[in-house]
Amino acid sequence: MRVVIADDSMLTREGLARLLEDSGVEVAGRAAEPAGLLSLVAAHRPDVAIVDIRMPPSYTDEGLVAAARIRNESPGVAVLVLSHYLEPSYALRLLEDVPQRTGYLLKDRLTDIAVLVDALHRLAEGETVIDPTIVTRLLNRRRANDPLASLTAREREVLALVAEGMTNEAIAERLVVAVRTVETHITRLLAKLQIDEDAARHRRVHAVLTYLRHAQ
Amino acid sequence: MYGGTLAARLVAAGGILLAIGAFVLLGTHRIEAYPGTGRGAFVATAVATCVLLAASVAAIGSRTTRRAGVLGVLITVAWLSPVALGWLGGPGWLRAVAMLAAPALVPLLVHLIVQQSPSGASPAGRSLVVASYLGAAGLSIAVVVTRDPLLDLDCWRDCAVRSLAVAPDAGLAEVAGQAWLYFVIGAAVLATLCAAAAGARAQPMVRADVAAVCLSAALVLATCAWSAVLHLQAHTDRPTAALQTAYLGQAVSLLLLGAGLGWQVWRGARRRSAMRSMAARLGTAPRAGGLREQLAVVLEDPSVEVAYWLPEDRRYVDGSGAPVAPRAGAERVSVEVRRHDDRVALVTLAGPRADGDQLVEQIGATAQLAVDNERLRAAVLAQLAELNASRRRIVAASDETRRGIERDLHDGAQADLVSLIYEIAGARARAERAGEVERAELLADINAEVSAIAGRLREFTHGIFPPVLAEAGLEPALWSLIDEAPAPVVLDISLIGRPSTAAERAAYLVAAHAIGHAPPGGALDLRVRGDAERVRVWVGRCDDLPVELTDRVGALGGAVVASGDGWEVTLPCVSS
Repeated sequence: MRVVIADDSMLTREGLARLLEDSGVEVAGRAAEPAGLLSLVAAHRPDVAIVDIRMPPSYTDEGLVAAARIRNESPGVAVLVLSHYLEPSYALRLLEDVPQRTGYLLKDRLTDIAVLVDALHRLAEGETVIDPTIVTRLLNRRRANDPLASLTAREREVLALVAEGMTNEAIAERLVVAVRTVETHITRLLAKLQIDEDAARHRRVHAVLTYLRHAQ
Repeated sequence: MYGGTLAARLVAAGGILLAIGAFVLLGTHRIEAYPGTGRGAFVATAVATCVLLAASVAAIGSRTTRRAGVLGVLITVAWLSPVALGWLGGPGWLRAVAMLAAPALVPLLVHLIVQQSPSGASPAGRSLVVASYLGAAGLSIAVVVTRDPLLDLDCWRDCAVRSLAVAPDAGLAEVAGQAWLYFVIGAAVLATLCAAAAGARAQPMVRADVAAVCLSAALVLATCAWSAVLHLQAHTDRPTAALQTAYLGQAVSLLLLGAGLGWQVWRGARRRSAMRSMAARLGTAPRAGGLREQLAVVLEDPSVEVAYWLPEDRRYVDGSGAPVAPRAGAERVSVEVRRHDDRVALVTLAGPRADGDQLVEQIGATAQLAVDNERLRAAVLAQLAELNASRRRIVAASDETRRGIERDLHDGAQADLVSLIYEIAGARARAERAGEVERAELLADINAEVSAIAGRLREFTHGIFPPVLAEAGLEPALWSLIDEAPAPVVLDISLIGRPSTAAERAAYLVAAHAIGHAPPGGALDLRVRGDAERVRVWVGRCDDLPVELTDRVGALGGAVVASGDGWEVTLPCVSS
């Protein structure tokens, strides 16, 4: 597993690099701003680029812009955006174009290195990773005539895991049920929410997140 | 009341006397001139003279048409002068003077056309007039000096006038006579072009009457040119049938000139009376902000602008208090309205106009109250606009401060906490690898605490001003706000396009206050509607807004209205 790290705070950047190296992840390069990150990605072709959402020069959405460029220019490189912001809209923007090999995690939730390393592996394998806190928030939003109210507790649980980017197999493992059972739950809940269940597994994450964001 | 300078009145009186004299001669003597060749010619001359003189005298009575009136009288006199020339028994000096006066008809008509044109006072216009007077004078003097009537077999009416023939030379006289005829034709062509240009370039409200005068004057010149052509063909001065027809045409066109001049006088008087009644209306019941519209109607100029002078600020504003920079140029002309030597206002009109002074007089004399009221109102509105802009700037500055605090917390305290979390996570991983289970669990608990602190700090900075509001807009920002709300909130939001930043911020803070201060029991209803024009936030069940929020709403020109159990805030999308 090889990664590059971009974060404008030296303390955070070095702390994260040491943490990853201790866990056996190779840190091929470190950058403090988007241009440096892009040249690192081009030079080292890492498995995953870890990108801080807020970087110079304007400290707004440079991380998201850089992530989109990496996804376009180097489709084989996964991107994990680390953010202070518990903002579903940022996560959605990141996933908008190419959901696979894309992740959005909250910096201050990374108290367990195992969670981070697991996320890196899932991303490198082509999956999508979304911070569960964001999904929980989306699920808890209350709307007039909420269609989510028609879901059973189990279906809500499955929906949250789908939105986090988990595969059917991973969900089955987490809930300790058969994969067929998970598939049945998913078919039923997508029908209830009237989400088009198309073939692409990664589009599914995006569809669910978009639904959660916009449904009235 | 009849106006006019003394000189102009003398011209009018002299013209009337000379005309009467001419007709007395025509009635009592045998006159060898066109009016004396038949009853028809006499009647046509009499009617044309009366109409043109009457119109000219009326024109002299009004300042704007005085010059045209004087020229009209002189044209009449020049046109009638052949009567004196054809008075066979008349004194020689009178006939000599008449001989010199008759050719003046051509330059006088050119002068009248140029005078009517908007660029009449320009150097080009002046030189054209001077050149036509000099040309006419030079050629006609050359003719009378070289021509000996006794040697001229075709001599008709001026055979006895020899007193001026100081250097008789038949050859030169022939050349000078021909040159004069070509001069007349050339002047007619040039004047017709000038007349067309004057009509086209005149200010819209006077275009019709300028065109009437100019075109009829050009028509008179055309009849002069017609006679000149006939003379060139016939080589005779005798009144042939064709020449008599041309004379009748000239009489008719002079009649039209008189009518055109009269019409101009009448239209001018009507405009002045409209201006007077407007001034009276404004003086008695001025309607706030209506002066410009009234002037546009009365002056028949929809582009008219009124700028009021604010002496304290040393600048002009329009009726609504917005700053304006009045510009006068070739296309527009400005007229300053002053009172007691103080600048009051500036009226800017389309095109140069002759009655600008009169306009000032009328506005100045009768509508002072209206102008003053308008100016005071404009000044108050200008101050108000400045005040509102200042309030918006203050709000924007405080917003920037808030964003700055958010940024500092994010880049400082939050970043430090995150690196601490990484540090502890690393220690925990090492402890796990070393098999120190208790130590690893302790570190995990500590890290959970630190993570919770970071989460609370994140919520706090979010309340200051979330970056998502600026970057993603009101809807995601409100949803995030609701995610962290202490009580349930039902949001009903519909935005078409993005409102202005100031309106977005105000709507966000209003919603944040409502969510943070919702009374317990049940969910809070929050309804947001917005487009590029305004944002409306409706909140059910909530106490009054704090003053800093109502100030912010007020600075944007918005309003807070009680609505049901809660209230509705309307925020116009003005840019700060």
